[in-house]
Amino acid sequence: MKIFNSFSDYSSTSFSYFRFFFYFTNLIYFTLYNNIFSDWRVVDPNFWEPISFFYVFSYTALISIDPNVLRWIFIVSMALCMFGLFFRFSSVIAFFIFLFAAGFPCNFGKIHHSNHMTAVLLGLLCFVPSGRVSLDTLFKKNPVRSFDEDTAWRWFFFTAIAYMSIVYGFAGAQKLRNTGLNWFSNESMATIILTRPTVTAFGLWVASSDWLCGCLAKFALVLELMAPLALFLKNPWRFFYGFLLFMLHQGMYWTLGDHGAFFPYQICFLAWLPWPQIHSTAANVFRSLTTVGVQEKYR
Amino acid sequence: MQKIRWSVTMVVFAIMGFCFITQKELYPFAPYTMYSYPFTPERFREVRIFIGKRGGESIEITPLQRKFIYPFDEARVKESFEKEKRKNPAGNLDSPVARTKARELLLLINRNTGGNYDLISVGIYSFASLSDLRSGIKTRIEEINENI
Repeated sequence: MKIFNSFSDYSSTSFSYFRFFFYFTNLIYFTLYNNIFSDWRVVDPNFWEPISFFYVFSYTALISIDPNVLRWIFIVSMALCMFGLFFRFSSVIAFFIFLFAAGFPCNFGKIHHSNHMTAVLLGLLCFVPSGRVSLDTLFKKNPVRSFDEDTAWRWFFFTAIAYMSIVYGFAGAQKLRNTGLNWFSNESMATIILTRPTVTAFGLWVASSDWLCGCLAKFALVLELMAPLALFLKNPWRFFYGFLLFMLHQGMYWTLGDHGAFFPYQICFLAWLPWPQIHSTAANVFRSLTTVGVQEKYR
Repeated sequence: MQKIRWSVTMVVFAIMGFCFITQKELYPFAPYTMYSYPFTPERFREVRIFIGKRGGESIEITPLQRKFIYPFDEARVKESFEKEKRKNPAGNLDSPVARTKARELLLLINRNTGGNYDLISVGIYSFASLSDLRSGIKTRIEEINENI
């Protein structure tokens, strides 16, 4: 409970900031930068080998869905979520379409894991209201309610950060379980970098140094293993830990190139930003600007 | 409602724990069961095998991860293969091991998918040591199927 209390400053307004940026960046990323709505209807059904979630659906039913129609429904529902309009309904639609579109290629052997975290966060968002700054609140007949008494938003940030930190903790533990202390070695890190087909010039430079590779391997593994402890930290230290994890992915991208790109994971780190502080700073700036404006007017 | 939310948290954590202990991946959970392969030069052997139907569909397979060249277009597969060949002109050795391994995989895939795929090419990258890897020495062994 003590851990949960450290999230007490997350209000419905700070959630609204997060909601807008999270849906906005994901909408841009998954529709423009990395389109997940590919047409798999042309692929030979022999390659169909369903993963866990898709066992319950029949191949003929799934393959008959037009990805273009799905893409447009996804765009509309994500845009509605962004502005908090019909949020209860649109968040569920956005979640299920994403779950389907991101997982569908895996059934044909195109396995990738960079979208999982986004899917879980979109799922968690289905269980919270849209927040104070939203069109749903604006159009409500009786918008007066004690937003801050509701712990829904606190719950969301707590669960999202706990989930993400446990993912990193387990990833570190898994490396130790499978490879033992070998993962700590400079040789392991150099091999990871050099065997990637998209290795960058910076990656080659890093891999040429035993000392740097050893440091990187130890730093990455310790950072992952200790990630669950971030829950016990308060902002700004929790945010700082999130920033280090974010930079872990950025470092992977800088060294491994496209093979090390985990942009959807990086977008999820929006949940680690100190939104209450961002909100109070933005409110202060806005207040000072409007005060100056009023003073100018009545001078 | 708050009780439902906490139940969701518990379910999420329980599934994550289950996936971690059993090393199973339940979509969309447990991406962390991947990315933990032992990457050492002695163990690392990347075998790339292209198989396909003569009509067009082709597939590129590695032991760690099945990976498709998409869309399935023979010309595109060949083009990307040629590109790789140009990148590694030092290679081009024949190897009975590579051929055997590729045929074994092909049989396995045909048995599992009920398909009737031909072998297009086999590429094996092997690295004897880290210093070889650092100096860019890669041994590439490849075979082009005589049917193509």
